[in-house]
Amino acid sequence: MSCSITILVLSGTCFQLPFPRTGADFSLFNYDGIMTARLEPDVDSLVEQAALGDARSFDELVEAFSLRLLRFLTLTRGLPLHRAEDVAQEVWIKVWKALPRRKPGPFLGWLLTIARNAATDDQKSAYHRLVRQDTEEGILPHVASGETQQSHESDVALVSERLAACLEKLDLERKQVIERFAAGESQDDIAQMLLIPLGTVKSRLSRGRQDLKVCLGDLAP
Amino acid sequence: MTALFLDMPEDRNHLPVWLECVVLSPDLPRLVTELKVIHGVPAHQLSLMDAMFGYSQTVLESGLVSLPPPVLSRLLRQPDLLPKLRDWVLESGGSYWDSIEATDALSSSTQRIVEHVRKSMASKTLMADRRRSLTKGVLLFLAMAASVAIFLVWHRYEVNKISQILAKTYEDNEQLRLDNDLLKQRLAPVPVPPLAPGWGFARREDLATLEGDDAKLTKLSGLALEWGKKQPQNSLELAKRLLEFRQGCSGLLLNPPPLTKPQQVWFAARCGDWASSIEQQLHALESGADFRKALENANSLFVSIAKELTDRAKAPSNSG
Repeated sequence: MSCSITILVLSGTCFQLPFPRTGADFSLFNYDGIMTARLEPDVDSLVEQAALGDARSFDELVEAFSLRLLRFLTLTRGLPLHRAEDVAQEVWIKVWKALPRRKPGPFLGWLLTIARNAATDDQKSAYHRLVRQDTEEGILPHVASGETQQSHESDVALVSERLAACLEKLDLERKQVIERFAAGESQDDIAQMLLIPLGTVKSRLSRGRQDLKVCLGDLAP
Repeated sequence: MTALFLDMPEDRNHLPVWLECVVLSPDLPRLVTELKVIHGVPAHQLSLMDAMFGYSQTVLESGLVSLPPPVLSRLLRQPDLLPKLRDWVLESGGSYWDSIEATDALSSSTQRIVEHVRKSMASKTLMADRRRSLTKGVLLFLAMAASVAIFLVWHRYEVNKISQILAKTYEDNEQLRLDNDLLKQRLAPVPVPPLAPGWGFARREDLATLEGDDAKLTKLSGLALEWGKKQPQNSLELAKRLLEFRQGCSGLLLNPPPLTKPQQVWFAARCGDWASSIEQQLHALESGADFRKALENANSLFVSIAKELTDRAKAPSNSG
């Protein structure tokens, strides 16, 4: 098993140092300006051990990949969190059973393929449940997730409409600064591009944001 | 409910981390909508990889902090790329992306999953399943190995059998070929002595120079009488003579003499009859008929042929 210390520095250079006799890789990340260290499991080795029936290695895999699995199921596959949790549990059981037969390849891709199929199955069975209920009860059942989704979409549409209206009302100079700010430009860059002093940029940005907050009313933070 | 972009950190060093959190949150669609309202639709749509401009691997491994500000700005100005970025890092991103803080609900859910799987493992149900699965696998393997072994034995047996059949067939075929060669040799036609060049009907070349059917029929009559120029001395010679004349008949039937149409029709009919008569005499001769008798019959036949032709030449219909 090869282990290493990975150090990422601000310039982006990566140093790898041998770190024998451990079952893990260490990585240092410049995260939010603070160097943080995390213990990274050696996935290939864990998968290998789990495939041979090592429950502890499998537990480490579950710990390492459950958050990713949940994010995948909720954000990419659109499952509500409570259903994604159930599906993720089923996925891990399937993974445990299928590990000995797994063909070589990246573990994450394989895991997400199983998750994708499980999510599709879940969506199909949810649909059939809905149809069955509809047929048996003669009414459409109350579907919280659907309502939440609908409500979420209408909120997004509302913000979109009001934001467009408020931007129209905004003073042109402030609007220019707000647009560049929303494109991720720094205040120094905005000052340079618009050929105005940094103080003016700060003032226009501050007032522009304030104007928008007022205009957006109760939608604003 | 908030306008999310107003939360963007003014310190741009913090922007990548803020964006990563939004990208991996359910709020992303809202930010995308807001940015679309602000920036509109870009004139030139870039693909995610083009927008990343060679930083894709770094992004997978260490997040958006590795992106230069102009690249980050490109992503924000074309916000449709952000959901694609999210899907891409979720499916291919390194462990860095798992270090991004999750919401409380997501963290709790994750913890519940881990505990549930732990409990399942501890209950040994899954372990038993795995053992059953392994046992099944081993049994399946053994069954397959046995099948392969049986197949190999059968295959070997069958191959031997087929080889033997093929060898036998080859031998038989070889014998058949030899027999065939022998048969061919036996059946090879007995060499026929070369026909005497042009006598009887075979010597028809002069016909074209003659005028009128009567002259031509008279000439043909004369050709038929050539039979008598050489009298056969035995059955073999008689057969040869008959065959030679018969060949002349064939020549005239296949390539009719230059007569007028009515005469040609008559001649063809009669020549066919004479050919049949010759064949009957040949058959009789080959069947053991007496040579002398056969010769007499042949002489009579050719005299009658000549007479018929002469009579036809003298017939009043030919003079006109």
